[in-house]
Amino acid sequence: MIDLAWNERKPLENLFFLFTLAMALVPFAIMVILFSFLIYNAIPSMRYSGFGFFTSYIWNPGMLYENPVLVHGVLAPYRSSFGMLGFFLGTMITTALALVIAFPVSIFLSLSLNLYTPQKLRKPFSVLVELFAGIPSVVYGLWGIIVLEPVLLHSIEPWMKANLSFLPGFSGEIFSGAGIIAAGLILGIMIIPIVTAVISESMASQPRELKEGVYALGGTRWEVGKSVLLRNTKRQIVGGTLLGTGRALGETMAVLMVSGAVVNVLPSGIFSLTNTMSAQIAAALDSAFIDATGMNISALVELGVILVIISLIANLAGRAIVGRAALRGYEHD
Amino acid sequence: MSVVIETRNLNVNSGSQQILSNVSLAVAGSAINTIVGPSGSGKSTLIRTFNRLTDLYPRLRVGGEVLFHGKSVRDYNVMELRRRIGLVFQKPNPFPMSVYDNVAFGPRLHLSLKKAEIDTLVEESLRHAGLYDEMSGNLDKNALELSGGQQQRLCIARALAVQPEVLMMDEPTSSLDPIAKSKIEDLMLLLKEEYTVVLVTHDIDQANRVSDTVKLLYNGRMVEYESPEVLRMPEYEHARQFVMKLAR
Amino acid sequence: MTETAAAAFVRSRGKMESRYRRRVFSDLVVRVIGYAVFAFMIGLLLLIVGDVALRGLAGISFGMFVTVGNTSSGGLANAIAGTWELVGTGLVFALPVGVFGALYLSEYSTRNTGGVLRLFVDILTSIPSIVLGLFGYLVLVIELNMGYSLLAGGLTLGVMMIPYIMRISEISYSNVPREMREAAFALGANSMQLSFSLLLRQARTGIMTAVLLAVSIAAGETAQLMYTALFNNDYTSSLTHQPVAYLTYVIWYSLNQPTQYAHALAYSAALILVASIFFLLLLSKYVERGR
Repeated sequence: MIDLAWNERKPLENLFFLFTLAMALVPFAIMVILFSFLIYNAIPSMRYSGFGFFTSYIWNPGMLYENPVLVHGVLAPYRSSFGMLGFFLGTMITTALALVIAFPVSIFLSLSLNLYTPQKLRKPFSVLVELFAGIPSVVYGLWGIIVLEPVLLHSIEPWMKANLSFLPGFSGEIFSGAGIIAAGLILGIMIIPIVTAVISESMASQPRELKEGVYALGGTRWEVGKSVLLRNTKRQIVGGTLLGTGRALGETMAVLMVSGAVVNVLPSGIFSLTNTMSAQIAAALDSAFIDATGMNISALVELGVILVIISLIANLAGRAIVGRAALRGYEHD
Repeated sequence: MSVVIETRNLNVNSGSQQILSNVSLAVAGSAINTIVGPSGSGKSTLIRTFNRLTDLYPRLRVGGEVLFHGKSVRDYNVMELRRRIGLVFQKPNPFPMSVYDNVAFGPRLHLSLKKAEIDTLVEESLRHAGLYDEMSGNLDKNALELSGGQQQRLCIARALAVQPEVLMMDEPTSSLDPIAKSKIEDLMLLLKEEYTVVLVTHDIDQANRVSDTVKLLYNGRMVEYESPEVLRMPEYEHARQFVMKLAR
Repeated sequence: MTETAAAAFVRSRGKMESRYRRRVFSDLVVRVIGYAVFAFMIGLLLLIVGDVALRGLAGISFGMFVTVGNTSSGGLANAIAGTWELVGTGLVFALPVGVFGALYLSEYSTRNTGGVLRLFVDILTSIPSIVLGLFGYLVLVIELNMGYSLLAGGLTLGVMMIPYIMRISEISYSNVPREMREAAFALGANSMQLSFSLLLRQARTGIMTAVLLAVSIAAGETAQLMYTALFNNDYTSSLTHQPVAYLTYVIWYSLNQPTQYAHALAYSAALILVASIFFLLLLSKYVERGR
C-alpha cells in the first residue's frame, strides 16, 4: 500500500495518482452514463405504455407510415402497442430450463473433478471447461440451428410428445425444433462452465484437514463429498448458480437464433416457439430505427432497463454470496 | 505385552524423495507408544500408513508390510481399518457443525442408530475425552467457537465415538497453550487404560512425561537410541541431541 | 461409567459390515454418474467443435482469407481484419483503464472507496451484451455522432473488456509481496517509480493473461456490435462514420441466407473464430503457467 499524504509527494507523483484515480473512475462513469441514457430514453415508452407494458404480451410497432398519435403527451405510431410479458416469460422459462440442466451437471462435474479425478488430470480438465466457456454465443447458435434443431424436431420432441404427454405442457404442436427446449438446452450448456468453475473452485479450496478428518473416521469418497464438499459450499453453490442465471438472462445471440424469435405469443407448452427480452431487443432494433417518433426504440430501451435490473439482481446477489467464501475458523489456510 | 501394530521394512517414497526407509517397529497394546523425531522426519507419514491414509495420495508409494493384529492392513476393509485405528490431527480439525454432530459423525457413518443410542454414544465419548462437564449444556454450539484445547478434545471424542482400538495422535498439542496441553497429556494417561495410544511428537519433554515406549525417527529411519551408531555418526548430530534430552 | 452404548456399537459389527457394501455401492454410483457427466461434457465439446471443424474445413478456401465478402458471396478478409481492428480499438481503450485503474484500487484506495469502485466494476460485468450494444448505439453512434464505426464498436467492446483486465491486474499487484515494496521505498523510490519499476513489472504476466482472456472473449461477441459497427462489405479504413465487418456477424447473418455458399461462409467464419479463441485461451494458460 502506498500511504503517503498528498503534500509529501512530488507534483508528478500527484499527477500520476490523479491519473490512476481517473482510470479507476471510468467504470463508475460509464455506468452513470449508461443508466442515465437508458432511463432517459425509456421515459417516452413508460408514459405511453404505462403499466400495460408489464401485463400485455402484444408487441406491435404500429403503422409507421400513418400519422403518429399523441398519447399521454408523447408521440407514438398509430396503433402501436408494447407489452413485454411474452418476452419476460420466455426469458424466465428458458433460464429456468437452463438451470435445471446446468445445476445437476455442474454439481456432478465438480464432485467428480474434486473427488475422483486423479490430481494430474484436474488441470487439463479445468482447461477444457474453460475452452467450453470460450466458444462464442453465435457458434452455439449455429450448432443449435444446424445440428440440434433437426435432432429435436425429428427424434427427441416426437418421443417426448409420445411418451410424456401425461405431463402438463408436454402436448401441443411441434414446430421446427426451435423454441423453448432448444433455447433452454443451449443456454444450459453455455452456463455450465461458469457454474462449474465457481462450485469446483470452492470445493477445491475446502481445507485438507476436514477431508482427512472424514477419511480418518472411515468415510468413503462420496461421504467426504457429501459432508465436506457439498455441505460446506452451499453458499457458493447458490452463488455460482445465481451467476449462471445472470448469464442466461442476458444471453442474446444463441437464444435469438434457436428460440424461434416469435412475437405476440405466450408460451403454451414446452414445444412452443418463444422469445426473450435480450433477443427481442436484438431482433427488433433494426426495424425500430424507421419509426420517426422514436417510440419503438424507447420501448426496446425500456425492455433493456428491465432486463438490466433483473440480471443485476442475479449477478450481484451471486457475487455477494460467492465473495464471502472463506470458511470461518479455517481462514488462515 | 501384546503387539497390536507392527511394521516390517516399511519404505515410503514420493517420487525421488525417500520419506521412510526400512522402518520396523512394534506398537504395544494398552500403552502409550511414542514416536519422536524432528519435524520432517516422516513421523506423520509413518502413522498414516497404519490406517492407510497414505492411500489418498497416489504419489506416495508404500513398500514393506504394516500388520494390524498380525494381518496386513491391505487385507482389511479400509472403512473398518480406519474405524478401529482412530487418528487425531496436529491441528484441531472439528467439522463446521455442532459439538453433538461432530461426535455423532462417525457413528452415523458406520451404523444407522436411534436418536437415543447416538445420545448415549455422544455423552460417553465426550466423558472419555474429558469434555462432557464443560459441554453438557452446550451440545448445539458450533464446534468452531470452542477454544483450541476444547476443539482438540472434541476431536479426540469424535475419534473415540466409533470405538477404535488404537488411538493415534499426531502432535496433538503442538498448536495448544500449556494448560490445554497438560489437560490433553492427563487425558492420554487415562486413555491408555482402554486404548492403545500411538503418540507422535517432536516435544521431548512430553515424550518423557507420558510415554511407555519411545522410538526415535530421524530422516525417515528408526534410530534405536541405545544404539552406539547414533552417538558416533556426525550426520546424526541432531538426533544425538534429541537422545541426550530423552535420556535426561 | 456405563459402557452400554459403546459395547452395543462394537457388537453391531455385522450390521456395519453389511453397511460397508451399501456405502461402497453409493460411492460407486456417484463416481459413475460423475464420470458419465464428464464424458458427456467432453463428448458435447467434441461434437460442437468437431462440427465446426469438419464443416468449416469442408467449405474453407484460401481465397476467403484474401478477398472481401458480403455474407453471401466473396470471402472473409474484411471480417477477419475488422474483428481484430474492433478488438484492438477496444483494447487501446480498456488496457490503460484496467491496468492503471487497478493500480489505484490496489495501492491508493481505502477500504470504502475501493469497495464502491469495485461494485461498479461488478455492475459493469453484469450488463447483458445487447444492453451494452444499445448503450453504444444511443451514446456513441447517435449522441456523440460517431456513426456506425470502428470507434463506436471498439469502445463498446472495450467497456466489456475493462472488468477482466482490471480484476486480474489488481490481483497481480496485490500479490507483490509487502517486503518488495518496502525494499523499493527503502531505496528511495517514490510511489510512481514503485509502480513502474516494481508493480507493473511484477504484474506483467498477470496483465498479459488478462489481455489474452479479454481479447478472446471480445472476439466472440456479436450483440455489442450489431448496432454499433453494423457491417461493411469492404475493409474499413476510417475510425468514424464507416461501418466495420466482423466474423460473428457473418456467422449469424450468412446462416439466414438460402445459398450453400453462405452456409459455407458461416462455418468457415466459425472455424477461424473458434480456432483463434482457443489459441488465445491456451496461450493465456501458458503465460499464466510460466509465472
